[in-house]
Amino acid sequence: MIKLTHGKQRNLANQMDRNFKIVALTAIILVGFSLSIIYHYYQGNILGKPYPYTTFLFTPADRFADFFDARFVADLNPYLNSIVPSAQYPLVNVFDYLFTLLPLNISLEIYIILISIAFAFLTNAFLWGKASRFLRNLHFILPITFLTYPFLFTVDRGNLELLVFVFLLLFLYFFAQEMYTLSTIFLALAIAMKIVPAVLLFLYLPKKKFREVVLSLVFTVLLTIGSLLLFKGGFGANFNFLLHGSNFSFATLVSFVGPENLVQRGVSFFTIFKIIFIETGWLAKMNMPLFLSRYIKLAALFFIPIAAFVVFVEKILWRQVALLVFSMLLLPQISADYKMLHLYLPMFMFIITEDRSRLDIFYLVAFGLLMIPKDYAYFPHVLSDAGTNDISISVMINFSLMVIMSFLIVASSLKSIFSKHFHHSPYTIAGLLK
Amino acid sequence: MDRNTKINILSFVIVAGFGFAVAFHYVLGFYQGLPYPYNTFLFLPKAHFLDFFDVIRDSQGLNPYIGAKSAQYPFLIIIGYLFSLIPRNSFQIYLLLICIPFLIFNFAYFSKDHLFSGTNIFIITFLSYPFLFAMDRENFESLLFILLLVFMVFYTKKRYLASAIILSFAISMKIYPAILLVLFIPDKKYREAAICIAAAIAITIASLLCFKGGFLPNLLFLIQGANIGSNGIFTDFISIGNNMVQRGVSLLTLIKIFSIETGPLPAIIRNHFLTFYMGLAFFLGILVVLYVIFIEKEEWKRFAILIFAMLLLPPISADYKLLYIFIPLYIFINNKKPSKTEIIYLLMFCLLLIPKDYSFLPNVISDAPTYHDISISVVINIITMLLMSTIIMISSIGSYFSDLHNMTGKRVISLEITENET
Repeated sequence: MIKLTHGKQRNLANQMDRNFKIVALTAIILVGFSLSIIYHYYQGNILGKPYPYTTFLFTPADRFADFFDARFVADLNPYLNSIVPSAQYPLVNVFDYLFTLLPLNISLEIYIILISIAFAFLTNAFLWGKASRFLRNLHFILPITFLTYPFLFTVDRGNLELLVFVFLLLFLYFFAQEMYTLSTIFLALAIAMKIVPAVLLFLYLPKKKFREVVLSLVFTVLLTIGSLLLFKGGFGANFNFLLHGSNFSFATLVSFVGPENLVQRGVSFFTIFKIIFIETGWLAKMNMPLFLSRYIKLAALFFIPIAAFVVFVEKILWRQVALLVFSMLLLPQISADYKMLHLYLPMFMFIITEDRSRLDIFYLVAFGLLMIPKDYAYFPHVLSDAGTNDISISVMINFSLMVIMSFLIVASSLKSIFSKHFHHSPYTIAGLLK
Repeated sequence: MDRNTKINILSFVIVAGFGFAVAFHYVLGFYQGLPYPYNTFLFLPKAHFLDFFDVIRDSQGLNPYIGAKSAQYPFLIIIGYLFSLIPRNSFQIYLLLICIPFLIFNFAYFSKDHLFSGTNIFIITFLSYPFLFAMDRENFESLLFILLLVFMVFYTKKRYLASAIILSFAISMKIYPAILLVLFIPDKKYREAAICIAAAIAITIASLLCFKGGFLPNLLFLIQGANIGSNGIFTDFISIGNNMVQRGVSLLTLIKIFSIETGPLPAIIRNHFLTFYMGLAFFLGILVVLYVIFIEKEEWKRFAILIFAMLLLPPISADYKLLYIFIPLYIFINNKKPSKTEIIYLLMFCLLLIPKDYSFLPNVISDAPTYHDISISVVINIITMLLMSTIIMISSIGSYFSDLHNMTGKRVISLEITENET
């Protein structure tokens, strides 16, 4: 009886904590969204300034462009066509082909509606766990899902990252429910669409789910080969194109990492370096191909200790997910703002975690800030692929927040491990004095 | 439906309505490149804060009527004059002066039983259409709104004298809040009503005494209604011979839109349109007053009916007046008496608080010259208030007569018992 009462009290405390996080996060998102709307309304409509002052999204003239690129795949020849060889992985091209079976405008509407519904229900499932509470939670679900910068930016681009994101949400949902085999299917779907979610394979290792790692990889390979078999020009030629990384030879992607003063509106470490080079005038002196080659090697090397930390040191799931997702966002040389959608993964886990820390309030505010538009000042010399100076301080803030959060997660975990170790060790100063 | 559920539904509808309207106007304005009014649910962007600066302009020399032919009431001119003394950024100070009390009111009335209600308060305070429209125009109506909120607080706490004094300041700024004097009558607070009227007259006279040109010429200007009549735009709004209407909630606006979009009114009405409308408004006003005095017993319904009358009946009644919807809403949310129709009332309140300009009326223009920016929102708002008033009145009249019937029945039974005993 006493135990039951105690349990109830604990549950109530946890409930309050989760509720506090949800309410605080919703408040930050709403304030950030509204403030940004008012700011851009003032700049654009009242002061009459042009893009980028009119919006926190990408140039309106280019709306949904990522989605409409699907038209180049209508004949199932994504790589070997002479017009625009695709920069996407095979499974993305298969989805793109499916979209072309209907008029693209209609496909886009169906895609956004279906993804939005799935996202809203998954948000409810993650944060409250009961489908029956969906309507009662709508006033929280609506801002948390649909009024954030990452979601709005991705919808505006019409990028298939939304689909990758939904697969990753499903993966994490089943992973957290300890339905590991089922989770592998969704992780494989995500990896087959964009390679970077492969970092999440490391989540299986601390739980010794090696079979699931293999299963994920096998499913990924099968999905990729299956997709390649559908393409015109034969399996071998398409596979060769992919293997040589020729899908990355897309002109805009190359110029993001080249000597031009052009960067991607994104969260890559490389983007930050390039912004610094451009703004300080160092870009002219830099050998960018050499810098890129070194950057890729260093990024790969840098990921090794992070992966080791996740596998061997960190025990709390949200922190493991956070470190891997931050790596997935920060380390690749190309990492657009729509990838910030994946920040929902650690954020949801953080909201529902029962683990408490003094730093929680900082993490909460940091997640909130990552979710809102912050483009209140622009870098004067940096261009984006919109052809204007629309790279804002938001890029720097997002990057800094993720780096600080990673550092704090690692430092606080190491600190608690060392303090436990020395507390139990006989070789402490107090022990020696005894 | 408990209080928290009402607040959650309200904040959900407001944030959904706001988010949807922003997305809709972003698509039309920036994706499709359409100009005003498609790029915003507010008034013409280049006319932002103009109502504030108009009053400042008319007030700064303290010669509002003889010199500037201002359309404002004397006490409002005095307030405008005080703001004109602030050397710079007076409009920002005004914004703060409205936002902070409004936020405090919402905190007091919408904070839920547990601590974490900040999100709902933020949504209800800053994301509703009436608030955003009023802030974009920066009309002094929002200051009047704050005064009426204070009046409501005192009145509902039964501090009648304080409420009467606050109401007198509001009436001195614009005449139509005088309809709220009716609230004192069912409570038999005739002394407070008289004090309110006397104070309003005193404030107006004191203000007139400050004006250049002498007391009498200024008083004459005001009594002859020249402050309204000398405003060309107001005259256009209320006359039937043109296609200009105010983006507002007056019943006159609805009748004029109806005549423009569907065909001319009968000649007898068309020829004496303003007289006809004023007669109609007077008749409806009398009905409302009698209803509030003799029939309605619930406080929020009394406020609602009078506020709707205050919004619908004057011939000039712009969209920023929708702010007053918050006054009955506060009492409605905190009303503990359950009712089958409260979900309908709540949804109607919600509908009034969100932008709804998803289609524009093709033949009507507003004072944003040449733009057809009068939308279905105007029609929906007026019809919603009419409908809500009708539902409230029918339900209350029904229960009034059933109570009367029961009382008569009891009296007959008691009389029969007395006769039998005798």
